[in-house]
Amino acid sequence: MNLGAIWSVAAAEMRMNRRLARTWLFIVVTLVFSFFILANGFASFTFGSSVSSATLLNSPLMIPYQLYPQLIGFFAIWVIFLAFDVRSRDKRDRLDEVIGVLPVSNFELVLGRATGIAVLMMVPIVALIALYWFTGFVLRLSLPESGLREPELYVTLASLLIDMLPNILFWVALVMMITLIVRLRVIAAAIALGLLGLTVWAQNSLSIYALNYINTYTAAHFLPSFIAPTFTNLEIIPHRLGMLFLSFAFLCFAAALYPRLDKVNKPRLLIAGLALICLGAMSFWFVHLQFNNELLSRQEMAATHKPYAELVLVDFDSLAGRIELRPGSTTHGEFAVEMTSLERFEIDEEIYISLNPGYEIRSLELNDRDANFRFSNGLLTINVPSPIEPAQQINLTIEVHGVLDQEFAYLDTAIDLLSSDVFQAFGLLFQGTEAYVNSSHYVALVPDLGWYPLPGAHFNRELKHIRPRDFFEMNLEVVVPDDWHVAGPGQSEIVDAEDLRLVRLSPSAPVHEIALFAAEFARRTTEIEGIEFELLVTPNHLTNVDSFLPVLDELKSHIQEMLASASASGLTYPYRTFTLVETPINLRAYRGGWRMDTAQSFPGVFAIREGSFLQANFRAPFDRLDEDAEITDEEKLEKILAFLTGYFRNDVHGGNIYLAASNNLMQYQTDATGPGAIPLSYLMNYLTKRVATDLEGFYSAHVSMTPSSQATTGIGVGVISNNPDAFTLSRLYYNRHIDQPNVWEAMMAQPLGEVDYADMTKSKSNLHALHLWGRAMGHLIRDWLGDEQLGVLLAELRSRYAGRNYTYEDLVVVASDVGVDITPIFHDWLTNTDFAGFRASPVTTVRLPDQDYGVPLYESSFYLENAEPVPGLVTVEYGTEQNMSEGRSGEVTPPIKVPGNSSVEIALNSEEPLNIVRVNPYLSYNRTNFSLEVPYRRVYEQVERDQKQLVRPASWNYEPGNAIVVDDLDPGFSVDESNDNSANLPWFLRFVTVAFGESPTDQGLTSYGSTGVNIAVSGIGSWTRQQLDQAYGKYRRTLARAFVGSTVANVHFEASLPTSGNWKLEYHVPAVQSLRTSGGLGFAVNVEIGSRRSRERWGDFEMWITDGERVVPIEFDGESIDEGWNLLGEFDLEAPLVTVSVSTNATRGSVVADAIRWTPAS
Amino acid sequence: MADTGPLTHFSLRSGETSIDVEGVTHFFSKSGPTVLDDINLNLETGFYGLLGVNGAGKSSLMRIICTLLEPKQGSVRVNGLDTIKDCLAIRGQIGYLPQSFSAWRLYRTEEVLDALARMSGVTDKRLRKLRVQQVLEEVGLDQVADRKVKKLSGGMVRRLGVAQALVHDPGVLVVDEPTVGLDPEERIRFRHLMAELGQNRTILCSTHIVSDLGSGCKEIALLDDGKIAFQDSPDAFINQAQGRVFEMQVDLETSMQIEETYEIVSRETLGEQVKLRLVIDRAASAPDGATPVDSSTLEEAYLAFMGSIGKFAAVRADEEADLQAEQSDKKKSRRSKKERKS
Repeated sequence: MNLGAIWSVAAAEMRMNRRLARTWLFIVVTLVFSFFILANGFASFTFGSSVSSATLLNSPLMIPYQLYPQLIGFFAIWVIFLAFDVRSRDKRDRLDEVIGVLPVSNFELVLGRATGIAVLMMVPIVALIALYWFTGFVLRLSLPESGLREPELYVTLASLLIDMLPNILFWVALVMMITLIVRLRVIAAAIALGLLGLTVWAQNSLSIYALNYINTYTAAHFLPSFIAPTFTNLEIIPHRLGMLFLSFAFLCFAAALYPRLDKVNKPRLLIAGLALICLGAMSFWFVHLQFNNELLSRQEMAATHKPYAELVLVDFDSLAGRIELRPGSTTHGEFAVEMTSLERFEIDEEIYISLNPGYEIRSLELNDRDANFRFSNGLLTINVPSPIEPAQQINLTIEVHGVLDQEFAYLDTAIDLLSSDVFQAFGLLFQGTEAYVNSSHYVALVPDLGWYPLPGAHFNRELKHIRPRDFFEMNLEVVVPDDWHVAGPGQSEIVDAEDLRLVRLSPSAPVHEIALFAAEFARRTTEIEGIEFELLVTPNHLTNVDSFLPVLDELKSHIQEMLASASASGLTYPYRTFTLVETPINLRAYRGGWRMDTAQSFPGVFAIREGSFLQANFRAPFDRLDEDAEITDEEKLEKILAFLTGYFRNDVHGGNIYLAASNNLMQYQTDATGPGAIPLSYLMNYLTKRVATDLEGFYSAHVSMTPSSQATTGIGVGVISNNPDAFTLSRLYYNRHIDQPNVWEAMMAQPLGEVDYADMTKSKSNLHALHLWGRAMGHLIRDWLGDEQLGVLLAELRSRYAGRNYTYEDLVVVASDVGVDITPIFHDWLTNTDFAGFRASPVTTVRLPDQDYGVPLYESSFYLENAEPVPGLVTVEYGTEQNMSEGRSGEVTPPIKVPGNSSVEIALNSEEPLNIVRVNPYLSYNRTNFSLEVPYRRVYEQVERDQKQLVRPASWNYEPGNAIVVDDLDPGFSVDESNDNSANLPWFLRFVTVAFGESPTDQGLTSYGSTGVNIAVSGIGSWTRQQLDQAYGKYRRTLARAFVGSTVANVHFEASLPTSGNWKLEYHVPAVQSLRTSGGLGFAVNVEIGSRRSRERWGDFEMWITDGERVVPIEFDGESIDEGWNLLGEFDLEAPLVTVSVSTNATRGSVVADAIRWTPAS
Repeated sequence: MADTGPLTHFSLRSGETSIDVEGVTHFFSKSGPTVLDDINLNLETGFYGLLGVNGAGKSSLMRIICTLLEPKQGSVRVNGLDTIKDCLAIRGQIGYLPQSFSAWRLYRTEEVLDALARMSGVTDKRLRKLRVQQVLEEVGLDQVADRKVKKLSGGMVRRLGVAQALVHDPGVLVVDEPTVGLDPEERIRFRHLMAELGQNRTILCSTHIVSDLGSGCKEIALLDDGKIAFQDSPDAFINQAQGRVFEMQVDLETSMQIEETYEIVSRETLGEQVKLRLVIDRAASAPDGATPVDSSTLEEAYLAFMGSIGKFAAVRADEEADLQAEQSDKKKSRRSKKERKS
């Protein structure tokens, strides 16, 4: 092979393609696209990153992920359009015969041309990336506060050196081969594009495991980390080699097929091609083995541990010893565990301990005697050498050494990246993929890695009802290089010796797990209320820390207030130190188990993910403050502090430091066990957070960083950056992802005591239902007890059970001892899903005798019925439009208890007539608050009497006795099966909805709300469900609605009439906003934005009554319809079953189906 | 010959050159006609002409020699190398101008030559530049060196084809209908160039324009229906026409009658009289008053030969095709000029 000849052909090909207009078109398109990505990232980062870590995906750290694959992918597409007519271009230029007699072999010719196209396409990639890198480099040096910087070098180099050539060459070679097989260039291009489309489809449809075979971009394999960079691994290298082998095989076949005399070389080319195919296959087989080994290894480990998951034989009392971290290499540990037996052990009976399978056990003693043991897949089975009595102390000493296996961590994770599909796991990829980091720069040992002995099997530890949390004392020495720091629970006691540093961690309170993070950190400390706050950060990531130094005193006061408030409630911080440590972005930020909780919070330690707070851009909001001439210095400091605190308050990815810190107050000290342990633990932790910080938090790995949550982030960050007090991002996430009809349905599907949290397929719905229940229940208890009494209860619970676990019964006793009866609140929560259900009358307002000095006094009263047997609680919020405008709250009553199946009269006093009265039920079938009708009067009736009590028993029923109402949520309401929304969508929207997650459903219909920005995408003629205050509803006010279209699906209201005869039929039509639609494209986008309401004008509906075999058409004239109940006529009907049907065939706009009402005509 | 200026003619190769064709037979399908039938040729250093009407098999033979086609039978050796086994080595020693030639439309003239020279093994940039300049001057394209190929006239493209065949200074030059589309002046220049190059190369020039071969031609081979119908020196070719080329001077009316009956080679009007040169085939007799010429031209000899095998019509068809090609080229040339002006 003559390299000179190949290059000369390549040079000619490059020159040729440089002259083609399409080449420049491709480059310009890619440039524009890249610019868009960068500009979007830049803008989002500059203006949004100071709001929340939710914008992390747009940080400069993540740009390589967004840019490099797309950049290389684009050019891989373009080469198809350059390579597909190489041969035909020769013919067209009548140069084929001249080229035929050139002294180059067919292979040299084909390879040269492929090289020419590939190099030509690689040049702009290199240039763009170099330009991007250089610009970032200059920005970092010139504007360090902007947070803008060059992309991470390792992933950049990997993209250029490892990814670019195989990706480009593969497609060039493939297209050249196809071109020579099919000869027709258009067909060749179509085939190549088809194959490319297939890979794109595969990338979006296959499991992550299978994706490993077709993912050709390093930047999509790793999250690029500056502090623990990764260049490549043993899976990527053979994968890319495999691509190159296949590329050269295609070129060999292309050369053999080339219509040019090269008889001597043809057999050689075919043989070489086949050999290269074999090599390529071997490379991919090697990749397969790597992945498969990981998968099998995890499956084997899980299979080993699962049978022992429910065995709790010992209780750890303490863990002491020494662990030596050798960065980028092995880990050596010597541990001494003291534990208590929970049952009697005879000789040779087994104790189970979990330990990372990467360890080799060098020595093991039980009760100071050598013991037989087996160590397989991380399960250490120790045969007891002598009988052990229950509650007897057992001492285990063990020395281990090895390279830890990260596959051991999170064996029981609900969504395992190796076996999940891309859409399911999309958000998880951005939350880190590595459970273990051990590079020459950084070592991260999370508890689940099993780097120290863990009690019992390594499976289902989060099922607290069967695996009580094991709290233990710890005293651990950590050996690291002499210039390194260690983050761990308790205060670090540092002893330097020669070239090593010994850090002793000995927290003053028990822990249930230990996380260690070590690196050459910069260390900052400050002491507040006797607690040392330690910050461990990569030295060049201190910019933001320094920029907040001016508000250090204010920050300390802020923390001091919170600590004092928590302490006053008896919830003191248990450790001497609280450490904030920076962790690499590729370190997995969520745990395993059914819950997949955040892995940023550990006892005494809070992990700040790289790319979040420390690299956020606070320059833009600071500049805005500087430009504000009217602001005082004091206000400025307040606002700067608000930026800092707001950042963490708005965290929705598990990095809310307030919540992480408050975990130490309760659930890291004591936790629930027994029946209902999981919801009880959630509830106690929620209440602790509210008492300690007055904040609500929300984290679900299922929605974090998914495309749909990014849409939520986009909306939220935009609003919050302009108005920080508008709401928190976590509240927005909660509303959009948790407080949804389908989550309510999941929550009401089964009692909390019966939820199978071990069923990983229901992990998401179980978690979201728990968030929903926990928050609602938490609100109820907090409002019922008040913070003071609640604090006493929580403090007493922690005090009694510190280092142990409590049951619901224990909690009831503790509550009783502090003077609180909590049983009415919990009712029969473990076995029942029944809730209260509230309905209310319109408000009646009268004027009472004036108060002193002639101050007027109005009394607004209404009846509230709890129509369910379960007692319930509500508060009532009321006020005037004036004082409740712009999101301000009105007056709120204390919680009002309404017994089951009874009514109360509620009377509200005010100096002005009320305009707004809103009932806020806690946990009820109403699900959300609802407004009452407050009739307006110019003059109010004056009555001469005293004020009524706030609450009085009453006997009132919502419905008149003889009316039969069928609402769209009632069992009598049904929709034809043809109303399959996803099937009615055009194909491209089906793809989008799969990518962004299906819209939530409400009793089977695609749902959208009525406040803020609510969007639902539905097929033309598909019924959706909308919440609307104006709609009719027993407890929830909803209506079914469809955009008029050709896809016919009918809805039916079926009623059971008691007697045959004449019945009046009324149809409820609420005032609704008209739908925005894209009917021409075959779908409707149901969008309603805030107050910009334009009322829907109705057309004529197609309706009919079915009475046995008889079908009676109903005339529905849209023009004459009023808001509310509309009489449609009197009908002579046969009892009992009568159905009113409504179709999507109407003359305009949309069709609505809210409720029907039958009343006897007489 | 164009003035080569300060450049000296230099050669990139050395040694004797030859083309040996032995018993070559070729057909494109077994049921189809035999394109070449047992062809034997032995060409050493010098300028050789390959004559024959369109479809005679000239191009197929040339493509076989240039390693573009594999003969069904027989073998071809170029400079002693087998065209099948050593095709790659041979390609480095051959310059080939196919009958249908153009070049990358978006390349400039000199870029075409530079690229092809580079791919032909002229790796030294400086040397390549000199060679490109030299051949451009030799074919008269030095004034349009930076013009894009799509802007060249047909004649220019043809000359570019000649230049590309020469640019790597091959020992064997195979040119297929090199003068199609060239004007007379260019043809003369081409003839001279071939004569000069033929002094130390083997040049096989296929043409049906016999005059293009000129006096520098060492030997002529005439293909007819895939067989060699004649192979000898141009003199011998002319001699075989002895007694079949006549000259006569008649009035206008008579000349018209004669032109309808005989193959006229040339026609010269002398006042009221017309001087005609004509060729007769072996079976025909000369018209009254016609006298055999002492020395006929190559063209006349070719016509006489073709007439002798009954192929006058085929020759005329070739001439007609040339004429059409020439007109088409002129149109293109005018269009090209207009574009440049605008």
